[in-house]
Amino acid sequence: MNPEPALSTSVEVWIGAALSLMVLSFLWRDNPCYKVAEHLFVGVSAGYWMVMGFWSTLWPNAIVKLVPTAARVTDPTAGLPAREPLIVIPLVLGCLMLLRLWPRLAWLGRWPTAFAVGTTLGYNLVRYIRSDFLAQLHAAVAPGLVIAGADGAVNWAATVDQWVLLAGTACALAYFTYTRGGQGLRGGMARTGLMVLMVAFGASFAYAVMARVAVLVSRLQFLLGDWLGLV
Amino acid sequence: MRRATGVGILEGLGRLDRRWLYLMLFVALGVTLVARPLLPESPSVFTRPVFARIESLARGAPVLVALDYSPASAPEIEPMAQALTRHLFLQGARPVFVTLWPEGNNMLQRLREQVFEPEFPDLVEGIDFAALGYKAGGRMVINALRQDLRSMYTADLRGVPLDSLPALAHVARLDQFPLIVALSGGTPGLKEWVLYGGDPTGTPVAGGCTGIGTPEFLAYFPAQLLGLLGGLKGASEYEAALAERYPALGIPRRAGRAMGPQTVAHVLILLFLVLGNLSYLRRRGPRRDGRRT
Amino acid sequence: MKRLLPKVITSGVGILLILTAFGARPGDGGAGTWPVRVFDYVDRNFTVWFNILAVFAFILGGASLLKGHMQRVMQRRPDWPYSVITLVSFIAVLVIGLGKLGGPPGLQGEVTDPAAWLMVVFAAIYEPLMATLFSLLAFFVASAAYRAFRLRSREASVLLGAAFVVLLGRTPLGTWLSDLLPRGLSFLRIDTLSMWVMRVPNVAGQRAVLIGIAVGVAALTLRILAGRGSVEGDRI
Repeated sequence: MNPEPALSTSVEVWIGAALSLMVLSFLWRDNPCYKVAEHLFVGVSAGYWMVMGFWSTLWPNAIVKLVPTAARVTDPTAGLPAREPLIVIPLVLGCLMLLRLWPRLAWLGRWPTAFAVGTTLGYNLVRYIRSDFLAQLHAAVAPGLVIAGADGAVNWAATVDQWVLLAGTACALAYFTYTRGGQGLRGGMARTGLMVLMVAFGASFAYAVMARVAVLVSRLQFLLGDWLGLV
Repeated sequence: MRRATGVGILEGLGRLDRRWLYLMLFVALGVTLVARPLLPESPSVFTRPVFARIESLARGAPVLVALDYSPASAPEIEPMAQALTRHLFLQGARPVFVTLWPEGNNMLQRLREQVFEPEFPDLVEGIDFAALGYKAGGRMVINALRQDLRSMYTADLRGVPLDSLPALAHVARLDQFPLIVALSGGTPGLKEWVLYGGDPTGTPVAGGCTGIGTPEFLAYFPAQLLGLLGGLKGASEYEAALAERYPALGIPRRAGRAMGPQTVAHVLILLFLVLGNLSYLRRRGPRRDGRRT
Repeated sequence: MKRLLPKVITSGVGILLILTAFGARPGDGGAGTWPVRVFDYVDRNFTVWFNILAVFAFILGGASLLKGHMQRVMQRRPDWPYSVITLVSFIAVLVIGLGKLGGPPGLQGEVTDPAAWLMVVFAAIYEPLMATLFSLLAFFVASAAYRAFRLRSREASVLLGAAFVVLLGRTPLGTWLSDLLPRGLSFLRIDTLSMWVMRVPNVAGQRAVLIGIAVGVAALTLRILAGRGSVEGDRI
């Protein structure tokens, strides 16, 4: 325990603490303090994202490449990079994207969207098939017997786990393709698959609890420690 | 009489206002925070490979560290970032920091203030580490790094051209890093580093993620993900392993200290689960066929 | 034109990028051939163009926010004073950030320079608001545990059982409780059981979900590239 509890003297900490309490007031009920904090967050975060996007990417990767002398605006001693005229293409597409704000010209905004969707799909198809389909199937169909060491002894516990893993995956996949229940091997696999998925969701719930509590603990540390100096 | 009282309590619990639950959680966490217990910890099978891999890095090896998190996930990820950065510096590796999240630059600045400057004051930026920072585009940034590091990053955060940075002297593409450490608070994050970075280039990926992502990412372990620090617990395990490896350094145990309140909260929520269900079963009563499912 | 061109762009870009994954690289030999040069150019530049477009998406988001809240204020809709807060904070952060106020002179230096006002806004406003908003979820999870997670069916019981084991097993309390077990029952240790749940049935379920999503992504991609789908309600 902190032997000498001391209130923070930092204005930043006091503002942060006040805003934190305004948000926490929502636990009692929705109220104007919470709404002020909520709307402040929306405005600040939108502005912050735009600023970061502009200075980190739009300026160095587009504007400076189109107009190299612009590099001297942020660093007077900077060397001038080579001009890349084709960088005008994403800039034009970006301006077309902004036309979505005017309903009569919004249809032009579909072109950059089409480019973005095409790029995402083109890369996603290959990556998902490779990493989430083929690699996952490969991992599921692991060696039938797990060898423990150089002497060739079989690790039976790991072997059983491997088979349970394979059977569980197969059953859960069966559930996705056969959701009507019913009898027979396929129905039995689907019912078992549902149970496997429930275990996975249970684990997800448990870890979600851990994640949320960790954030709360940190906020309380800020309020009780950084602000009030109690911990 | 006693039975009737028990039934009354259970029915009363069923009508308990949610704000009493909030108060209980608030008080329990507050009291444990003041006590600050440090509970015993040991690395799990998911954490150990990350530690071993960093231990085996050659001095001067460049390691790509992705700080893809924000203040919302920092309580879980920041202790990992601190412990892993400490470990990389102690091993003489050269971390190269990038981020796919706009808040990542601020998270890097905090890391400078909390770890670099107080614990490793002799480090020289550009030689012992490089800070490249944020680029917009999420997964496509990783895709660009796969092709050419310099296609997106022309200079580091200070504006020094990449070609002038000794830390990146022999690195032009993602596959020239011996290790990617992806610390992820959500999307884009660890999944994208596996799909767009690790798998296409064959570069090993070590991950750190929030509790919410942990169950999913375990499906990539160990073939596509060499190890995983899952949530605050993973961070606490890594801190413990580092403290054991370097006992003389007095490694801070930020996540370890938070595990006390975390444990109390888990117990309380388990208690809520049990009491809530007892109350539910009591109100619902036995079924007509006598089964109580 | 309005409908056909976006479809052609999507399909053309998508198919070209799929082909680049299978095409030769300049380092693989045949560097001078035009397909290799085209694939290499596309692979190198389309991602950079995409990333620049991502910034325009931020700008579009900000502009939409501005438009929506300005309309709310002008038309004096319910709760309009809160929109004033959003507008003022949005414009103030834009001015502080785009002008790099507080940092090195003029527009020099990094926007997240320790002396920049944007860093003060981040530390004093953005960080506490974001972290506290997310911390509210801990209370809602606690409330849900008490009020919503019920043993209504066999499936719900399995879900709750797994959650119980993992929650207890991933804390030192689980280890402590397990130490009370006699040596012969060590297989029932809750920390061991929790790790087994995470390594085996959890991975089986998650793996099936990943495989299912991958198949879904592939099907959706092929459908859209064939010009027969729509994305996010926006027909392209």
